[in-house]
Amino acid sequence: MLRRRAACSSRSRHGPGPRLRCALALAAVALDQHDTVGLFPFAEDLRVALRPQAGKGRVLRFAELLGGLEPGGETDLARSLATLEALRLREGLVVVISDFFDRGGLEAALPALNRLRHKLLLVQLLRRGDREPELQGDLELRDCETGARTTVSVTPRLLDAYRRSWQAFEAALVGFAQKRGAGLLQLDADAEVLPQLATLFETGSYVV
Amino acid sequence: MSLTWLGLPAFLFGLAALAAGLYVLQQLRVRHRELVVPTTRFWDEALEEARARVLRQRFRHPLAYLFLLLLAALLWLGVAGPRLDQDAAEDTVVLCDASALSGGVAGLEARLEAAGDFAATLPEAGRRVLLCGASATPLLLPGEPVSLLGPRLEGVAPEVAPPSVEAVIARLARDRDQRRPLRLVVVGDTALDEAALADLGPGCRVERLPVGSDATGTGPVLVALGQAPARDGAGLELLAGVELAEGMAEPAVAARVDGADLGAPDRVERDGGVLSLRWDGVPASGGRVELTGLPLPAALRLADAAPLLVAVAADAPAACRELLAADPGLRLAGAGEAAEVAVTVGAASGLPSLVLADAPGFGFRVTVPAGDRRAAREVDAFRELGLADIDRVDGGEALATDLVVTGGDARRVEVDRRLLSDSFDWTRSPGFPLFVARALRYLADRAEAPPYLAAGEPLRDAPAPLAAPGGAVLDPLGDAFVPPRSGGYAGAGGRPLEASLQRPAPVVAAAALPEAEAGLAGGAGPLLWIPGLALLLLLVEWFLYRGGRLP
Repeated sequence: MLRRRAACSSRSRHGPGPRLRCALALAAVALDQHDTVGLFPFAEDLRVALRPQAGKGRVLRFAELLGGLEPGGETDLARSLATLEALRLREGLVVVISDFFDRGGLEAALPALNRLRHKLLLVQLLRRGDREPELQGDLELRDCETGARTTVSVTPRLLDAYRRSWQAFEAALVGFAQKRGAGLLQLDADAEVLPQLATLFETGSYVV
Repeated sequence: MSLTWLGLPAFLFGLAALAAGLYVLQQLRVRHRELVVPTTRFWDEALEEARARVLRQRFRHPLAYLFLLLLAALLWLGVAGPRLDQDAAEDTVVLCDASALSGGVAGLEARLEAAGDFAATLPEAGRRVLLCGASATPLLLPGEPVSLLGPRLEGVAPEVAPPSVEAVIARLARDRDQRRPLRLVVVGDTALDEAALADLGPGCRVERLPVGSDATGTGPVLVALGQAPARDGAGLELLAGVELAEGMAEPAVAARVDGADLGAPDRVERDGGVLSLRWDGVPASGGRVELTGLPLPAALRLADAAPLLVAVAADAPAACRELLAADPGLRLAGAGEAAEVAVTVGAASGLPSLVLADAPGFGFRVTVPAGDRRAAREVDAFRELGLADIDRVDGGEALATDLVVTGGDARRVEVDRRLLSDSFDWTRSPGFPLFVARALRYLADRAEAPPYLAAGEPLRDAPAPLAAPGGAVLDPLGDAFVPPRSGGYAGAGGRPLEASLQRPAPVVAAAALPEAEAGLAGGAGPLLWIPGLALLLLLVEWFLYRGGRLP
């Protein structure tokens, strides 16, 4: 599953999207292992870009499909997962590549993830500023997906409250992964994704 | 520190208004920078948590508000005009001679400028500046800023009055607060009497503030102006003395009486620096004589030697008429002439009258008008005539010969006419013509013109009260009258007086006075460091802004 992010100005310094690179890398590894790999981009809902198929030669097809993906609307992970479940695919590994910033929040997404029959690998793409925002002054923040605007005056107190909110979010995701037995991989979207994945495969170190 | 332009309540009110205004502006301050973020979810949650912990909307950027408030407060303080007041350990009075005899206009300007510069160095509390002319005019009072001096000096000119610094010093020393030392600073070279300064008492000291050349520019100065009966008995002699500085040319002095030219003096003598002038044959008309050719006004009221015109009742005793013929100061009014006084029988006429009364119950009675103090003094002249000693011829009726003085609305003299009869020898005594002469002159209220009258010098028996030049009424209350300045003075008896400005007689000048030292006050004071402090605040604010501590 690959989240199709809504049209936002990308802050990544590394090409068309860390998500696409990550998806391609994982697909290449799986195809090399003769696994079947499908591609299911989602935003407000999920669609089938490529039904699970095997073969090393499918990598190029995979890459072509990834390159042709267009930005979607607002993310609705719960709905997208419900659609995935309705496909009644053979049990396997579902890799969800997203920042998990869902409009319904984790309260809606985690139960939907829990209902899946598949094994789960959650790949969370984050930026440094997501955990520790380096913002100052009076700002009007615009959500790149929903367009919602929030006016803030960044103060130390507000930053502390933000960190608490972020930590609660992260704790909820980690807690779910631990409880569900799912894998949780956090990648720095501002850095090169492939070296980070290489570290994962070489050292086996990931969050959960 | 005190404030020049605002009272403390107004200053505090303005400061509070600034603080409130800046507070409102700070609350309304909106300078949001737009930023696109992946999600606002966490910010919304953070704001919700922060809002839940306060009762009202948080005041933003108090540090920036504080800086603005400090800057605004400094500007407001500058508007209020702060000044540093030093405690005055003593009272200082700066005395500026305004007499026209002390250097004229140039001299006064030099002294005033020096006085202003000196006053600026003194603490405002306890500082006074006085202009010493005909009266002591305050130019600066304690607590007033020296900036008020300029507007108050507009139109100030030398006064045609003698120097009065000495008299002002004496009065200040007498009336001072005994708990505080008094320092008197005399600006310029005004001569001060050594004896006068010796009596000032402890706690009082006099200093001198020298001024370049404040005594020059006066020109020839009148030192004497007077009149005397002519030696040949015809009219009067007019005498004048004029002081000339070394190298000064003799002025062309002439005289005029009521506008009629008397011409140049008949005699001129020079003795050193003093020019003596004399005019002969000046008519004793009671007119006003003035000298021309001198820089300062010089005038005198001449004696009036004209005979007193008397109207005598037809039934008055012949002795009265005979007396008028013998007294050159009296004359029987002829037909068509306006008599000034009258001799009546039985009752007074419309003129001030010597009334020969029928059995009045007294021998002599003099009526003194209420408030006419000179008349009261003249009554003494009647008592000197020995009226009580009038002899009765044998067989004559015994009559009272006492002198009664009473008050009334006009001058009057009454005599029991029986005393003029042959039953008494009064009309044959020397006392009778004296009595009649004095009585008629008393009735006429002819005040004798003084032989001379100088501003600043006393005149006894002046017809008080008097109207001074400018209309002020002066009343010495029984003391000698001292004209404060030169000019005409209208007496109560209608006889005017004329005072001239003459240089006072030289005094034993006090030894050299210590030179006054300037104080330490003045300078730019707070108005200098307020802008500097404001710039420093701006600099600090800039550094904090650059460091991200201020928006």
